[in-house]
Amino acid sequence: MALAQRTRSPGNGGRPGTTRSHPIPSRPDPDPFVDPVSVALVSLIAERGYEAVEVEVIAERAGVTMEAFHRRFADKQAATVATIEACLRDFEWMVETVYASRADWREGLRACAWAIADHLEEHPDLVHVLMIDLLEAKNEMLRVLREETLMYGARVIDRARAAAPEPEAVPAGAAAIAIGSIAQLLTHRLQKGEELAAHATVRQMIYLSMRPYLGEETAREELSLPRPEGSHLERPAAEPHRHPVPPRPEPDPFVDPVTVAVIGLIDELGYEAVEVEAIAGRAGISSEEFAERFTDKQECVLASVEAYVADFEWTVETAYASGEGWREGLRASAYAVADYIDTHPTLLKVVLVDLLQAKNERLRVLREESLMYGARVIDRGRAEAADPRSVAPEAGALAMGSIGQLLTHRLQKGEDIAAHETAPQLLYLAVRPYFGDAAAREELRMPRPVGSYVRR
Amino acid sequence: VARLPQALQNVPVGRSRVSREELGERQFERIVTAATEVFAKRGFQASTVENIIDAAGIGVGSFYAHFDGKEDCLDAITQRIAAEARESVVAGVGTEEGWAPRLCAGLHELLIFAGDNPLAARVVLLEAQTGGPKAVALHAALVDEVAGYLRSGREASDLGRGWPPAFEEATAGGLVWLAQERLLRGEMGDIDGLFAELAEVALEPYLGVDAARREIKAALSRAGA
Repeated sequence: MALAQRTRSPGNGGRPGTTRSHPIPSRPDPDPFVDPVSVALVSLIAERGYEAVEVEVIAERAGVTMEAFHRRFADKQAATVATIEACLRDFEWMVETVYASRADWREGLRACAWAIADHLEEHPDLVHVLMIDLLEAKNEMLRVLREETLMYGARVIDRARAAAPEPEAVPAGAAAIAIGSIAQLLTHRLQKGEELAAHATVRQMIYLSMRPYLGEETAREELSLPRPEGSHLERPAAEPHRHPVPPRPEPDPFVDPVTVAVIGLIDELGYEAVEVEAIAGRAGISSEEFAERFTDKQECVLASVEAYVADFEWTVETAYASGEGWREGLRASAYAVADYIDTHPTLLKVVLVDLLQAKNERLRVLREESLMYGARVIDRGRAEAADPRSVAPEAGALAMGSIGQLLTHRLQKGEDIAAHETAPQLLYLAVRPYFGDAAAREELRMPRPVGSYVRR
Repeated sequence: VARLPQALQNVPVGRSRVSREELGERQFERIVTAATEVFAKRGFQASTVENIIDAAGIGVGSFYAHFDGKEDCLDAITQRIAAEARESVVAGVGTEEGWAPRLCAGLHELLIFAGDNPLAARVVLLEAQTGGPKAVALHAALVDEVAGYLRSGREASDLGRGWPPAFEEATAGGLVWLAQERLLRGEMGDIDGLFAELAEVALEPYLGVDAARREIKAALSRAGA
């Protein structure tokens, strides 16, 4: 399932014309362009299509044993999702690094476009997989992953809204149309067996992206501007940490008056009844200030929830990093999450209950992605399991699905979540599929780890 | 004189021989059938009363003669589907004895019911949880019922001693989550495969892997017979 970090809008705190409030995500580890399994997987899918690739062939080309493969991944789908997510995280790192080095949005986007053109030319197999093979895969999850990748690009383009002379005149779907056109162009070229010619068309892409925001005349200037200096990104060696702690979102969603207002209003009224005027009114900002930051209510709520999810992931990873190995890390995370739930009960209720009842499909997907982030943290246990091949492919998802259902039911029934009391019970559930019943029972008696007290 | 078949005999016109109650019942059925399809295909939150009356081919007044709104309609549908599913389960369990065989027989029957009524399954498993307070409460009550039955398995096994109190609540939630996932992916076709998957999640903690698989195999062979 799609990563929450993948769909996160780094631009939720954007200010007109600046590039400063888009944190740079950490690079994936292992680097998907070095990791032999990811390299083998991408090249095989590009050659044969997703359906025709088998785990044995991936392991053989990667030069790893089947046991080594299964220690990391439950099956082909899990390996593919992890690889594509790592590639996207790397892509986000590249885009945000280049973007942050520029003075304003327009220069940032121009430099990013050239860096992306380099990336496309350097990794043609990955482009083929993303544009063609994921689209043709029978697997719905992989198609969603492709769509989410494109939507990240759309959100980067849409940062222009804050800098547009007339933000309210920019169509709501301007960025989605621009990215859709670019994706269609790449897909058609690949389907016809033509060269991507990314550098030859990059100026046209920049023009297409900027036109809805800056108007025809200004956008046309892009067709003759030279490549910005320093827009080729040298890649340093991957960071040494296995599960790096992501940066905290800026601004802090518990301080930003807009995100605070969004959660309070959805809790009181439900998503459907919340209006832009009410959000702006409670946040103490004008409708013009609102329009500078968000296209509409949906974008505002999505960005707000994404900021909270990013903060939540920072909390989980900070606690996780305090442990030696998966069990200790998971235990610390579970208690840190219990603190989080006790401190922010409204947020939990909004994400688990109110988003479930929203008409908006993207919000429901966001809820699901938040849960799937938990599933991936749990599934890190696969790497340390005594016999990874005996661990069911969906062990992490099932454990997280059980926990999500349990919390949702308690909230819907108006019962106390009793987060600290339930934490060891949920740890039992999470540990059991990977280490067996005896080890899982130990979790019921383990004291709370010191590293679970996350200081903000 | 040869008698005409009953269907062709003269019947009084004007005052219908179909009673008002019977007409009402038929209309109710049309609405319920149409609404089940609308909720399952559009999702409860995205469905409107207009969608339902269009699908049922009735007027707005007729809809509101039976229901206060779409939430009320969803409540009625989920209650009815739950009652029908329960009947199937009871019939399927029959005279089976023992915690595990009864669980297997009931689960298998429930999945057959869901396979035969995919729209109904979607409404109860997915849409009820997104509906109004009554539908949500019914959904929660069904999960609690499953958790309650699972909990009685502790008496049938030594393995369950000392388990955390929330274990069955979470396991029942996990079973519902798995079924929801399969519904969303359109993978409800292989009833026996899905049964084996769900039954293993339910039985294995109480019986251990080998005994759970034996029970599942035996249940499938009984169901096949």
